[in-house]
Amino acid sequence: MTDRKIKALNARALYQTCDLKQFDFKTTADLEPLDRPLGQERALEAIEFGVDIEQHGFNLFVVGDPGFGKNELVRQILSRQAQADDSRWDWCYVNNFDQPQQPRLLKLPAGMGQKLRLDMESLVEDLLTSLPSSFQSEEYRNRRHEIEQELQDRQEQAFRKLDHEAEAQGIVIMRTPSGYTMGPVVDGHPLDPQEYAKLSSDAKNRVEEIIAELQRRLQEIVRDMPLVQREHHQRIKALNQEITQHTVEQLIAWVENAYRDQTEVMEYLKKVKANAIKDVDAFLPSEQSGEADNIASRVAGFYAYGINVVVDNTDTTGAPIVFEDNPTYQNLIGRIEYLSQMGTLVTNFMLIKPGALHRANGGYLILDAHKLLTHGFAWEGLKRALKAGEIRTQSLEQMLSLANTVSLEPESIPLRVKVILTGESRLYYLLRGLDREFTQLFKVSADFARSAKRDRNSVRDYARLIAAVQRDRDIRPLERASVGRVIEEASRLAGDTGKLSLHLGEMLDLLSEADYWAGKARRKTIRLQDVERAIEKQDYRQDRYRELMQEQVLRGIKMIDTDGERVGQVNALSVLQTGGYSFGQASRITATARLGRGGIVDIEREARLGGEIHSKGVMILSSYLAEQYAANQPLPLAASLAFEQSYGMVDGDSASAAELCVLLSALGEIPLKQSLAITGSINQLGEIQAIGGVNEKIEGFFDICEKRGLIGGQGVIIPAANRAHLMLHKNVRNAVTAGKFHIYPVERVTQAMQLLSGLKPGARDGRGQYPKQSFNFRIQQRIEKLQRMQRQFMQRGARDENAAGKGERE
Amino acid sequence: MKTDGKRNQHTVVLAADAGSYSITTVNLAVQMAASMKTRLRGLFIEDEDLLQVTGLPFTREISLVTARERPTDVERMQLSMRSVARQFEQTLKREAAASRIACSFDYVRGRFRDIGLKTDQNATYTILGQPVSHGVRPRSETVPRRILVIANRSRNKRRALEVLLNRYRHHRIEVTLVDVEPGSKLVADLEQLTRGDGAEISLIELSGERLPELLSNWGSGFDCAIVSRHEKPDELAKILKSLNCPVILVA
Repeated sequence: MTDRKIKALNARALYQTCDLKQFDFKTTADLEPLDRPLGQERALEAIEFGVDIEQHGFNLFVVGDPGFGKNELVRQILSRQAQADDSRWDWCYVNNFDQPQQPRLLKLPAGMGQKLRLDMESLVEDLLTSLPSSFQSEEYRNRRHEIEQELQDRQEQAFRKLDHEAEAQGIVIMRTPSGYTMGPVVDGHPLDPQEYAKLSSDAKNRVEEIIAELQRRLQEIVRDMPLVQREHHQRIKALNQEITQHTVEQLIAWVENAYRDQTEVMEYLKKVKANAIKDVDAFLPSEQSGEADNIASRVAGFYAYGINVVVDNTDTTGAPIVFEDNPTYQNLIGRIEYLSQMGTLVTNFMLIKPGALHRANGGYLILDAHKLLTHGFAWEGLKRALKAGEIRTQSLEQMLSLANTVSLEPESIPLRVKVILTGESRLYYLLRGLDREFTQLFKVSADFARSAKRDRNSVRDYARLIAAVQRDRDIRPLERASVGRVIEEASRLAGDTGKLSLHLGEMLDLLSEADYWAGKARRKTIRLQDVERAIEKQDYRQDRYRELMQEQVLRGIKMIDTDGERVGQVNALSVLQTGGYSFGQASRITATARLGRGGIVDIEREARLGGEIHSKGVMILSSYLAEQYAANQPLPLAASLAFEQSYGMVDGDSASAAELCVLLSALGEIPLKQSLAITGSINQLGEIQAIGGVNEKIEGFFDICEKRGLIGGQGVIIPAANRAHLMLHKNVRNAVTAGKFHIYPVERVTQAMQLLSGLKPGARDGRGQYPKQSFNFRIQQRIEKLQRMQRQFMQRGARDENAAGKGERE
Repeated sequence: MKTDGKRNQHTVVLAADAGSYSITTVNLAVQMAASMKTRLRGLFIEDEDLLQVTGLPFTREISLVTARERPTDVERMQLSMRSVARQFEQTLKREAAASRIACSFDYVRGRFRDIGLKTDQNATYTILGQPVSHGVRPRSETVPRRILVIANRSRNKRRALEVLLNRYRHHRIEVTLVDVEPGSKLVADLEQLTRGDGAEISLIELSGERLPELLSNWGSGFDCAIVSRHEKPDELAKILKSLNCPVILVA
């Protein structure tokens, strides 16, 4: 603990300018564009490894926030890799003539799927024209006629013969409305009942016997009729098949010739042939639709002979690279569509639609992990396909056993794909932690750096990166000073003077806007003022909420003092984010201290408005306080801390230094300068540790002070470790140069207290006492006072108890 | 009006009994009447021969569909006949109305052939329904439709032929002409009727001597026959007995 004066930082320490002397170009047009990703060597190597390795489970998760060029880099690497891989296949579903519910799969060399589809369409067209011709041939007609005539004659003759025999025996066979009946005839006239009654008994018996026999034979003839019909049907069918077979074999032969070395196709064509012969009637025109010009529309109806090319690589070169932007379950795995026919949903193999996995098979599939995980069952579907090494197209209803309708069970497609997931690190670690299968399936991670080290080499590379973007996006060349300013802004975005942000999206936006302003000014190159204007306008467009907050302070609605001194009150700093824009704001923290045994009450925590990290900070400062001032005696203190006019959650520990200072102020009744604000977290030893958003915080307090008028003593106390992060706006730097604003880097809370109170901390003497002019003396005095008060209270209490006990005894 | 008067001289009569009524025959009769824009008379004959036979004590009816026998009697047979007659009448009136021709219907008892041949001697065309072929007759596209024309000097054959050719225009047609004199106008008429409409018609000409053989072997193979009413009664009876198709008796 030292009492030496704490020096404020000079303006040079507040901003790391880009040394333009290191550049030997006038504009980026003179620069050779950077042809590799800047600062992403680790990710690059991981991607190249992940893409190249062919073992199962070595899929890739590219970790990084949006805007760092992950997708672009992955695409570049994949494009190079894909060119070398030419193992592309077409995948087709065809009808399974034996089991229509289980469509068959054909794997064909690239481009052959469409050819087969067209060949099969031609075949059907040929069958539709040639088969009717065959059936209209004279030969066919004659042979069919023979069969029909023969069978008809056989029936007729049987009846005729019976008719003649009956006539010869004096019996007539007559037709009734629903059959036949028989009766005796004399002289060509049937006998009536009276005439019949006059016949002798023998004659009657004879007539009845004859009729009984004739009836028996008639029944036999009638019974045989269905058999004759069946024979007729079978003989006609055999004739049709004979004629069809001849025609079909002739027509299909040329298709077979084209696919002789494709075993699966040959097997399929065999089935086609057998089915076409069996199903010949379908190819023959009915009486209603026999017109030849109807062929084209009829071909469309013969879907059973169609080829559903689910993956067509006709016009692709190299392995496929597929980026599925909407990775739903169906878009990944494919789907089976249905048609409504007469109120019923029906489907067939031609309604199997491919998914991204089908299209990427044999190549690479790039997916956004967040989108994948937010679509129901998509992640599960992807994992199942990768684990099984096959794509089984199944509806969600089938997968979940919710469907009762008849659907298809298409043959699974063997899957050989490299899946590249891209997503934020949070997602990556969540998946690693929660999903055991994830590490088995995604064994390679490529972690994209958010920033790169800022040194001479990287700055030159960054300039070449700017040149590459400038040419790629066709914007105006940037002058040297503009490049320097963009690099400085990259450091500001990185929040570190020694780093460069690798967020390409933000850099591209800045260049585009600078180009816009250069265009407005009719310049051929982008000058420094264009970049400055772009930055200024970007801030301005997003600045409305910051202005509103600032206005509340300036109007005194939100109470922030920027001059004077107050006991138990300090200005802390915090960072607010609205979308991608962040800004700093001052908050008042107050503390009270009194005799008690309750320790320190964190009002935010009690009101459930304090986060866990904030609570941790308060506990740390309690510990520091006890250790520092009451190591050997009880600390009879009841103190409370509150963020004034704060109505939302307070979290983080960057205000713990401010909280400790204000607590010490309240405890020692030490006024603190309101012209200063403080940020930083503390540890139990009283050391002040680095915090985030230091630039925004300083600028947030500066803006208020500037608006109220800089009075000379205003400034911000920051952790010394945050010096490396300072990239402050020009107006802050100017105020510092003019001595109107100060940035104090501190390492210990005692230094902060010294700045805030204007009192030195002092060091204990041999009796353990602090010097009277030190703030520690005041604190020590107050604690001792509290301890005395506590002892007095305890003694009084003991006397009261004794007196009460004596009275009772008396 | 004079023309109408002439037209009204023609009449078409359709005669059928319970065993020979069919919608096909009704259609043919309606088509014939419509082609001449004349009235159509339907005649249902309750065949007394059949009623006599069903009155016998041992009479059984054998079902054409199931081949089973069942007892029958006059009353049941009459009910059955009247049911067929009602169908006949309804079909006739419906089809006639659809073709916008006038029609009448009569129900008489007698012997079918006698009444069929003797009733309406002045009718230009009398169509006799015939018991259809036994069993199911194949009627595929490839089977030609066969028309039998037994030639004589009747002047009205051409109209009947014209109606039949139009009726079978989507099929191959075989016309068998029997007893046609060389250079007959009938052949010329036939050629004229079929010219230019793309019909596939074959013509078979046979002498009158071959008629018995034709009827014996092919009598059940015709789809329709055109026969002159002026044939001798015995000859006509033989012809009708041999045929299983509707017969158009031409005056």
